[in-house]
Amino acid sequence: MSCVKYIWVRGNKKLLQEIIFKKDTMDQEMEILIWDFIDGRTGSQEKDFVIKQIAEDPLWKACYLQQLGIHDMLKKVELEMPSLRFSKNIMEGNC
Amino acid sequence: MVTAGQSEELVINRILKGDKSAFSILVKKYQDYVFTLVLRFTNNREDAEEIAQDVFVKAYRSLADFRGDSKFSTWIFTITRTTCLSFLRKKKLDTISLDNERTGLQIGNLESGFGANGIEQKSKHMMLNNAISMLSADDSQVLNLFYQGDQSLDEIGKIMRLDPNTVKVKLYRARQRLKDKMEKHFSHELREIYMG
Repeated sequence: MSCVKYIWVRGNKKLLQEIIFKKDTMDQEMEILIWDFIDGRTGSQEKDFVIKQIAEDPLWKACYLQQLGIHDMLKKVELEMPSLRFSKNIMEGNC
Repeated sequence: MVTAGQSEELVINRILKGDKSAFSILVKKYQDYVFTLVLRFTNNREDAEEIAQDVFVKAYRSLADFRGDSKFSTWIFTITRTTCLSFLRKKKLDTISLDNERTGLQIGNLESGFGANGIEQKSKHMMLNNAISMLSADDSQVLNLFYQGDQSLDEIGKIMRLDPNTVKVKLYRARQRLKDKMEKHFSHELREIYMG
C-alpha cells in the first residue's frame, strides 16, 4: 500500500514501472520510519528528521496522520470476554 | 486473603504455598487477554473458551516453572500460543491458517451484520474488530500482543519464537494490512477517523 498512487509518465511503460517501484520502496521506508516514530523507537537524529519531514512535506504529514489514526484506534480495541462462568469453571474443575 | 491489588509476585508465592484460591486473581486479571488471543486463532467462541481454560490449567500446573525472568503476562501468552498451535494441529482446522487472511466467512458476517441496521449505526469498535478478524491469526495476534497485551517487540519475539526484527516487520505488515482492509471495507468511516 502506497501513499502516492498516481504517477504519470507519458508513453514510457518501463520507466513508469521503475518509477513506481522506486516510489513504492521510498514510501515503504517512509511508512516504516513513521511507525518507528509513533512507537517511540527512533533515535534522536531520526526523530528530528521525521519531525522536520512531517512539518515540511505534505505527503509525510498525510501518512503520519493516517498511521497515527490507525495507532490510536488500535490502542482502543476492546478485549473479548469469555462467559461469566469462565473463572469458576477453571477454579472448580481443574485447579 | 489475597486481593486484586497485591503484586503478582506475592500472589504467585501464595499459590505455590498451597493457596489455590489465589489463582482466581490471576485468572480474572488475564482471562480477557488470553480469551481474545485464542479467539483470534479459532474464530469460534466455544473452542476459544475451551482452549483458554486449558491455558490457565496448564499455567496453574506449571507455575513452579515460572522463574520471574520475564513478565508473567509474557509467560502466560507463550503458553496461550503453544496451546493454540497444538489445538489447531490436533483438530486439523485447515480453514484457519496462521498465515492466510480470512476473507469469505468474515465478509459474509459483515454483510449480514450491517444489512439490518445500516452501516452508520455500527460503532468504530465493531468496525475495527471486524477488520481485525479478517486478518490472519498471526497478524491479529501480533496486534493484540503489542496494543492490548502491552508486550514489547522482544517479548512478542519470545512468545512467537521469532527474532525481534522479524516481529517489527510483522507488526508493520499487520498494521498495513489492517489499514488496507479498513480502506476496502470501511472507507467512509475511516475517512471520518482520519479527519478527526
